[in-house]
Amino acid sequence: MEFSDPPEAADFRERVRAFFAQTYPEELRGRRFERPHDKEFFRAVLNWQREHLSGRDAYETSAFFQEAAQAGIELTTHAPTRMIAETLEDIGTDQQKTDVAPRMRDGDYLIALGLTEPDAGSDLAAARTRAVLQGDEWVINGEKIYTSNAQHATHVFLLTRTNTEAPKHKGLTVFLVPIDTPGVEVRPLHTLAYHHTNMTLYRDVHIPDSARIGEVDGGWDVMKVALSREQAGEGSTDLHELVRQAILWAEESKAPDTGRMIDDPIVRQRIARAAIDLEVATLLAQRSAWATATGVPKNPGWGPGSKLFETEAYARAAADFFAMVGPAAVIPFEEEGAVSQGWFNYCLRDSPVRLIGGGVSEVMREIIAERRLGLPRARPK
Amino acid sequence: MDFSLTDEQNELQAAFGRMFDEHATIAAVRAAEPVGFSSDLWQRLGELGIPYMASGRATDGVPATMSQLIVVAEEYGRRLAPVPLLESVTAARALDRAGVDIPESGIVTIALRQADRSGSLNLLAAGAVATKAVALIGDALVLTDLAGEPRFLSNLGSSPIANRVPGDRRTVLIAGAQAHPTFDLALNDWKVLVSAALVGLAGEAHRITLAYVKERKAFGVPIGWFQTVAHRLADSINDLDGSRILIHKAAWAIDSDDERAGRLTSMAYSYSTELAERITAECLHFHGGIGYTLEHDIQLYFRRAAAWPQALGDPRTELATLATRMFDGRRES
Repeated sequence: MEFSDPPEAADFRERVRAFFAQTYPEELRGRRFERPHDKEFFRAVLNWQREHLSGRDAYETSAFFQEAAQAGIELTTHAPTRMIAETLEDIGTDQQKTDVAPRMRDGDYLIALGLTEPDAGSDLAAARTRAVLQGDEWVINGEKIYTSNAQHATHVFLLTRTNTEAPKHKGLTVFLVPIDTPGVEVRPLHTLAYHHTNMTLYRDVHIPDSARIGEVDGGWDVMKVALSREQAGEGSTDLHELVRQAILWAEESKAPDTGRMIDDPIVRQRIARAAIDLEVATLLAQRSAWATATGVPKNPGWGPGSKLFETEAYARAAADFFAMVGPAAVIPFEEEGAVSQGWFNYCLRDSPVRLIGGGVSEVMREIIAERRLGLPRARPK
Repeated sequence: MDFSLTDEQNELQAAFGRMFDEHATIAAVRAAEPVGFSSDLWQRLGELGIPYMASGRATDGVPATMSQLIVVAEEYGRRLAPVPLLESVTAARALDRAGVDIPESGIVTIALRQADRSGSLNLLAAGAVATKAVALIGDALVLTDLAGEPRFLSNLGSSPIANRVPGDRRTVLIAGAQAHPTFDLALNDWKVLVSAALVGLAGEAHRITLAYVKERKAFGVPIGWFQTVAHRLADSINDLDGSRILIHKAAWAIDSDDERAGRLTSMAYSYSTELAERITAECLHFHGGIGYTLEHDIQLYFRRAAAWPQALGDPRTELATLATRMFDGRRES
């Protein structure tokens, strides 16, 4: 194994910092927790990534997202668009490859994922949103929950049921639905972590067959391709920033007896423990990114394992640091008297979201148990 | 960045894995209890170059790197091999740093803790079989004879520990201000090596347990069907991956003289000692009643996971060392 930073690492980070300093809209600063979206900035990020991220080195990806987190910039809204662009480039029709994917790459399109349904939760393949072919059009009826970023999106990557007779994984079809199609309604759903996600409702939504991705009833295969494009290290930088904030807090806070909090043996060991988790989480994410970048066959447990470890470690540290900083931890961000701009307050509120969003911990463990360890499957098919 | 093993690492893994598979069988491990030493195995280890490969003086200036030695240590741990591999390799590297040859005969160990007031090296790792030790005595790092007859002390890990007294024949390796920092480098080596050994040990316990929970039935289903078992085994394999990569990074940092070497060593040691205890306890637990009988092998792993780090002392104190290395401005050792 080899862990050297690339020779131009410092220079690379400098360029990332300069890029964010130049392009991040001032008015979004301090609104990070709301996960704001700015179209021009989105385009700039995509362009910059295209020019400067070679995709060859796992270091670059994690450094890019770490610098974003450190600059207070939220980039998770961008991830689904990249995932779906790559999916179309892989399995799309010629028209989707030449007309649709490039518009995602250029920032014209922003994609929200319409996967989970209110009655089904983690069981994505239990989707009941119906798509029925009428003439040469599909008519869609149903509802999705946690359609994050739908308020900014141009399209929803929508998982629907097209066959009620077939086994549940074999009757699904995926469509790319323009969000301004008549019959699509976006309803905000406010979260504990300040940002809002959405319900999206579909009432007699008519779309052409050209909006279909993959085969009719072949939606689960499309899902597998799309989910395999989830990128480790993307938006998993919360723990990095949390540990950094804890060190800053401890260095700047006075302790009753020992001078600074960082000199308190208990405080410093609590931060050191989280720093170990951060190192492990970073290495697991980098391994996944390395496998993607080099084409090394990926163990089916690596991606889920990275997500599982990072979010669980984040939740542990968030709870521990919230307690550690004392009574004013309860004051929310930007309010008078908040500790470290309310960072620990925010992370405590945010950590349950991270454990659930993007695949709940228990599903990650199921995938590892079944696909990596070969244990018998306990959940019903 | 590269997360695959190098050709050299693969070759070492294969060579030592094969030898241990053949000669450090569970029967051989049990036969070597309670002392935990097999002279036959020690001789075979010597034929494969332990501890000489760790010394530049014995290898024409191209000693094995820590990145290579941890691969050997992991195989050693996987097989619970009854030989003082970690201590002899750590001592060889310490001698090499001082430009001193490995003695031609006998076993050299390392005194991980300092002598008590009377000068005795208590609970000395490999003390029951070693003839010499690298030790920090006063303000000097020395290679010392070990006087008197070793009296083996019965212990949880079936390790060849004994109380020994340094003899009169001593070679000073490093004296003065550099003695302590140089000793810390040796301790770092040992911590990384024992971490790798513990990952090997816990990984093997996990492998044994995984096979068991697929086969053993309760309530009409394999017990691995139950999510409380499956999910904990999933967590463990994931954590073991993390621990192994962290150890490789620490070894890489030591080899490349990276300024994070001390910090990464403390992280690797702290994490893997805690993990090996947890995983071996869970693995024993998943065996049910048979798991706590001496007849079953799983207890061999459980005992050693707790015992091995105690050669140095309470592994939980490593967090304080890590904090020092992270937060106290001086350059790391």
